[in-house]
Amino acid sequence: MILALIILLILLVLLGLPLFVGLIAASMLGLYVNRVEFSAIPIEIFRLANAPVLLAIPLFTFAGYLLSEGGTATRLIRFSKSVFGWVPGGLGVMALASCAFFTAITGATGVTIIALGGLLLPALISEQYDEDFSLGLMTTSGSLGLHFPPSLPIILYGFVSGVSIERLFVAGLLPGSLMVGILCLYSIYKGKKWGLARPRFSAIEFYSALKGAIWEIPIPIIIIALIYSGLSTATETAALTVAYVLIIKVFVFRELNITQDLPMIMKESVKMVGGVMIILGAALGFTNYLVDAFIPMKILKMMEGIIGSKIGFLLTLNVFLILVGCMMDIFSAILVVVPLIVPLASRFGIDPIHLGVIFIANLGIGYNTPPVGLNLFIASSRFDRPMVRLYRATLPFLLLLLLTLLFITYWPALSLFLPSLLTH
Amino acid sequence: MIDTALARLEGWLIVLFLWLMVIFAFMQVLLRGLYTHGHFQWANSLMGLMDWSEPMVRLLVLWLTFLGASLITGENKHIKIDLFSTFLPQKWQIVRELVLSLACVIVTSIMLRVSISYIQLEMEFGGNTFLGLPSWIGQLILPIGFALISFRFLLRTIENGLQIARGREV
Repeated sequence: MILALIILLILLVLLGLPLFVGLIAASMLGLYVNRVEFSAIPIEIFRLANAPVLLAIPLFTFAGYLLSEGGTATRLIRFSKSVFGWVPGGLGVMALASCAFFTAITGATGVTIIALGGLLLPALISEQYDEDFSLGLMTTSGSLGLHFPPSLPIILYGFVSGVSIERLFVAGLLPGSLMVGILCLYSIYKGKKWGLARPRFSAIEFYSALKGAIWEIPIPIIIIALIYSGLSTATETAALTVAYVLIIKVFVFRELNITQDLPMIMKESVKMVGGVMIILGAALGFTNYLVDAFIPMKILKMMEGIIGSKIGFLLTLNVFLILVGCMMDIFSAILVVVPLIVPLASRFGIDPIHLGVIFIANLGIGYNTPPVGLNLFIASSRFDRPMVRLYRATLPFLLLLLLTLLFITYWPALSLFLPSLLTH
Repeated sequence: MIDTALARLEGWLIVLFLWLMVIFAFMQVLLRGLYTHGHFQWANSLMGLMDWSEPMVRLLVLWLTFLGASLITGENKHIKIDLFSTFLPQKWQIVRELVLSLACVIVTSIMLRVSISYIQLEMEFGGNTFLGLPSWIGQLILPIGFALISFRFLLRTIENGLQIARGREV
């Protein structure tokens, strides 16, 4: 009977049952088998109101949504064009840099592809970049930059695994830069090969672009400085960021109207927050059951028999996470998989901070993996191109990212060097 | 009709709560900064007066979560594994939708009942939260949220059922 229900539930989830419902149903089944009252579930969901860290999520999301309205994207693109324009393949570099910033602040939610894609794709194509190259670049950039503050996936990983969020952000700096950097090199290589026009660096244009974006350029710098210096926690930084963004958008640029635009943006960002956090609440209930039933221990026992070495474990983890990443969005993947994997990884001697960096890198790559990576869907509808075309266009980018994934996974020092310098 | 009116009310609450969250979270950081880095004594006493705002802001996270989740239920935009929506033939899509929304109604109504009894227990034995409010007031969002969500899933189920019934007639 119970087995039939479990199979039914798995089928329903694969068919597209909302994940929070699936998680609640799974905890109900588990509690029922263990003869525990269902009231354990609301108690766990209520924990959402007891974690100061979680406040960072609605605040950063709101800031991200505020920034994606109005002219911020245009101003940032103009500025990075004036900086990188003269490099061969510079427009590609500029697109990657702008997208990484936007993805860091909005998470891999498709906002980057939707908000920046419409500006950057025509720009790339009009400057004679190969269309497949441009499509691939824009699709991949939807999940690039996830290691940088104030990335929501990192905050969630820290919350679920109990690792310091500030340390995770420090750890992600080099691996994240490696992922963006290798794609920038690819763009430069291609730009050289195609002999694209390279506008000369113009001090006048640089100055006027800088003046246009002078209020927005400091945002990532301030966020990074506050978090890395330990001056404020991720949550406090989020509160400061929202206040700053509100002030510049409403009073400095006068782009957003308090009574008309803000309520709309607020609703949109709360919808996004609700969608993620309700899964978090449900996942807390499910994790609680898993731990009570010693499930991670049981999986550990089973895996120990199959996988002997650390390398074998990491390899399996990579493949598994890419599969997860191409089926689930990054938030649910973290919420569902992290509680199961963390005890396993510590058994194999993997640092939880390194594990976090691997997780985010893997899941981000999963977004571009055919046949069902989320970026591919979003790009297909945003750019109105068939999926198969996007499979081909993203392939070189995907391969390069997989290469960096190998570095990130098998070279722990890349992630652990910077946090080891932290004293606090 | 009820659905649109509800959505409007939820929208108002979202705007109100998010403003409260932004303003109080910012004020807390500001006062703490003024006290630790500027050593202003008044900032510290003001923080003492506002000690209720910290648990309130944390509670707002939960309330906003449920309000947002309820709104996306109405728009059918919950996060899910989306393997079959593109591959399944049109005829089966509607059946799939019906089965899924029915399952959602069942699960969320059980949660509604569970959270009501949770609140009842809390009314008897729970303590107080900020500003002397009883703690069950803050937890009210659980039954309210699940009521809203299961109501929306029910509407969807009925809609899908009607569509299938009409399809059969034609």
